[in-house]
Amino acid sequence: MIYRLLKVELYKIFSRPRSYIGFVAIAILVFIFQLALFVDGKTYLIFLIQQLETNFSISGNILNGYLITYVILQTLIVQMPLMVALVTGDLLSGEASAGTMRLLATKPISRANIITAKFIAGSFYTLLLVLWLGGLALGFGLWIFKTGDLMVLSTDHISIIPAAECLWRFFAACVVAFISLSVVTTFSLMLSAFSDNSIVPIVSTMAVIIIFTIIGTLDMPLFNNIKPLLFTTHMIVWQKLFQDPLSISTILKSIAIMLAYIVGFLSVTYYRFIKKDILS
Amino acid sequence: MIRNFILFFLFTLCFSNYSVAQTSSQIINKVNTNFSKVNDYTADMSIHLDVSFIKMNDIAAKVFFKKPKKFKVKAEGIMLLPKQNPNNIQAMLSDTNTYSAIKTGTEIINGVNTTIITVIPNTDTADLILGKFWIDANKGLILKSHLTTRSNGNLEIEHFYGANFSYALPDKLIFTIETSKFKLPKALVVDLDSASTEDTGKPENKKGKITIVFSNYLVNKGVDDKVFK
Amino acid sequence: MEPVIELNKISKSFGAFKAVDELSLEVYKGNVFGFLGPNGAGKSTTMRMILSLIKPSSGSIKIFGKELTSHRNEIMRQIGCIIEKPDFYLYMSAEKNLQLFSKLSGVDVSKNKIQEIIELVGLKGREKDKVKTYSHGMKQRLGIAQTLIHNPELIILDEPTTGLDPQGIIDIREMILRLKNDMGKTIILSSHILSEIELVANRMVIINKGKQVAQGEVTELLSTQDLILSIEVEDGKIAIEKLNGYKKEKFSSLENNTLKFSLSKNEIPGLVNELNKTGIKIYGITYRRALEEYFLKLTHQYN
Ligand SMILES: Nc1ncnc2c1ncn2[C@@H]1O[C@H](COP(=O)(O)OP(=O)(O)OP(=O)(O)O)[C@@H](O)[C@H]1O
Ligand SMILES: [Mg+2]
Repeated sequence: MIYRLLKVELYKIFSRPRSYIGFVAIAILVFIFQLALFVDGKTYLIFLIQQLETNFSISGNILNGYLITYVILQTLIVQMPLMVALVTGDLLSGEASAGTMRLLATKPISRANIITAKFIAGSFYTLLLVLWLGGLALGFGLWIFKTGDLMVLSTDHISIIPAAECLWRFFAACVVAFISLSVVTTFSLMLSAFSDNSIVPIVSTMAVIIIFTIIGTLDMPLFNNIKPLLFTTHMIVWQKLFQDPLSISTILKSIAIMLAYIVGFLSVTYYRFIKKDILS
Repeated sequence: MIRNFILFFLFTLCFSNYSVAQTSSQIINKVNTNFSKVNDYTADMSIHLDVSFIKMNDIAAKVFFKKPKKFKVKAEGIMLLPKQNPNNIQAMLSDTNTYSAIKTGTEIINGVNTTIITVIPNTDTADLILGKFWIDANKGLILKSHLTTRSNGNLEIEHFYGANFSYALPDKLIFTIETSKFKLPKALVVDLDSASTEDTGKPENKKGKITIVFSNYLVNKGVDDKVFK
Repeated sequence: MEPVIELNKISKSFGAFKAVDELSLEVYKGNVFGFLGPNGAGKSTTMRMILSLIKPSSGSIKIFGKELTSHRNEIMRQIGCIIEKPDFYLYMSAEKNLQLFSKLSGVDVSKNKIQEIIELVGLKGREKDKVKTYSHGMKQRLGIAQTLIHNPELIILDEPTTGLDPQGIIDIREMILRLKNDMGKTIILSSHILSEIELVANRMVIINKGKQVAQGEVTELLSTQDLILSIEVEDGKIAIEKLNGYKKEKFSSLENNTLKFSLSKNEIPGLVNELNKTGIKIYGITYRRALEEYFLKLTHQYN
């Protein structure tokens, strides 16, 4: 039964125009990035190259597909919560506001299964979005800019990842990014269970992420203590996969914290939705 | 102006050390003789960077050389090399008309007696301002170099020799360079844990080490000119 | 016979407000059960409780002889419903909506069956159109189709005729009778129009402000033994004088020269005769059954 329900949920997601906004937006942004870096990539790197050339002579394909992919992921994954929430924040509340929840909830399906199906469908959507971003960036990146070692830029250092190691790292990065976006998925799903219109959960999700991100960037003692507790702090942990030496333990710790959030948000969603009177 | 002053200074040093057996040009000639036996060579290189702002695995590369000045290092991916390559130094030393050399002392390096030769280019335009070489006068090998350059400041190279010492080809070179502080604008990057890596306050210049290990030398076996293109 | 639905003193409060107050009722198999009440009486709320959309604050619900709370899915498989407005996935076609909802009811219906039902509710030719292009009445028809698609035992229809044209109302009425008579289905039907219930239901309950007002067989509740007779005359006061106490005990009110009497049908000829004798001009005589009259007062449509 849950399998049937899941198929129905996926069908619903993918028969709505709004579900494609994210895909289209990503495709456009990736295209723009690739074009811009193709035309202007050297300018982008000049600052870096100049600094390095004071001490070294550099050779090799620096502006390669892996670097392009990394830059694109770095810039776009931050924007992905909006695209995710646009769909997942609507999963329950959208049905409430459309009135279809009345029908759905009278079907011989437990409320828990409704949540489970929506969660899985929402996660699947999120995963597709991540893979779409990663796949487009990497595919076009490698095609246009060819392969090469990845030079990861931080404000005060650079790491160079050998080309041979880039593929698995990008794959792992997508998995980790998916986990962090799943926090957004479950968070917006949870808000969605509390609301009878879809604007509130979507906007609230974005507001919370923006607030947490700002707190995360403020360098104040008061905030520094709560930073490790904010889920947004851990959402960029995929970048740690591109730092040598790999600090597996920090990555795993962040993943554990994000999973805890996911479980927490889901539990609240189940609890709330199972008890809820459907009044819409 | 500065160059003249240094020259003067070195000449005085020169006269004071007049008693030492070999003259500076004799010693340099010995070095050049060693090196002149090399018509061409190839070798595998492993470059290890020990620079605070660069995190990078060892780079595997291949080096190609052909007289008089053809020189090429090839690697699969991104490669960072010290700006001065040792062959350039050798090449410069072999053109004895372009510089003045003065003995400026002796020193024991790793148990070997070395003569310190200071080299000053004859033109103002050369990148090298001052070169100082610790030379094993018996074998005609440079064991240590200290270069002051226009573009890069100070640079020190330790030379280690093995089987190919008779060609003056080292098995290992350790470059110690001055690195300026590396800083990229925030706009270019998203930093993960800027708080933890922030160690501002210190003055900018730091030392970096680059170790190059050579292996699988093929000397005078012929090198195709194509590789230098 | 065991009732299909058995509500035992169910109540539902929204905060301090009691929307349904200790309502008990029984619905038997093969019956059409009417649920009558003015706006806000608690009809939809009761139906939502039967459909497990909301939990009663107190009381118990048994359907098909089983506790709703513990046998929910099993029970729901046998129920089809429209509750409040007929809402669908607007971005899908009618056909697709029916397919999805039947799937969720646990049955895979054939394309033919869907076609058949679409024809039955009169939407043939529009089934491929997205529901967002539908009029309210069309959605209502699709709603009916949706209740039937998985062939349930019990059908719950919350005001299924709102928004329908006169033909649509008749169609639905006929369909309900067919479902009951030919297929033996049990149907609960809510409305705030008595005549609509009267035409199809065999039992009914009237609720007001969440409380039961009357419950029983429709024929009994609406018997002709208990009528309200209204006679419009030229001058009410003179008429009463001239009647001189005739049927005084049955007289109830005088308003706008309209005399009202509570009596049974066979008493009417005598009264009219007596009035005629007084020579007072009679402009009109109408009667309503007492319950009807009462219900009209409830819904404030009468005055
Ligand atoms: N979510 C809610 N919160 C508070 N009160 C509610 C809620 N839902 C319904 N009510 C109240 O409960 C009462 C019964 O409402 P209900 O919808 O059951 O009436 P109804 O009989 O279906 O009326 P109608 O004929 O207008 O459909 C109304 O007074 C309504 O205001
Ligand atoms: Mg209602």
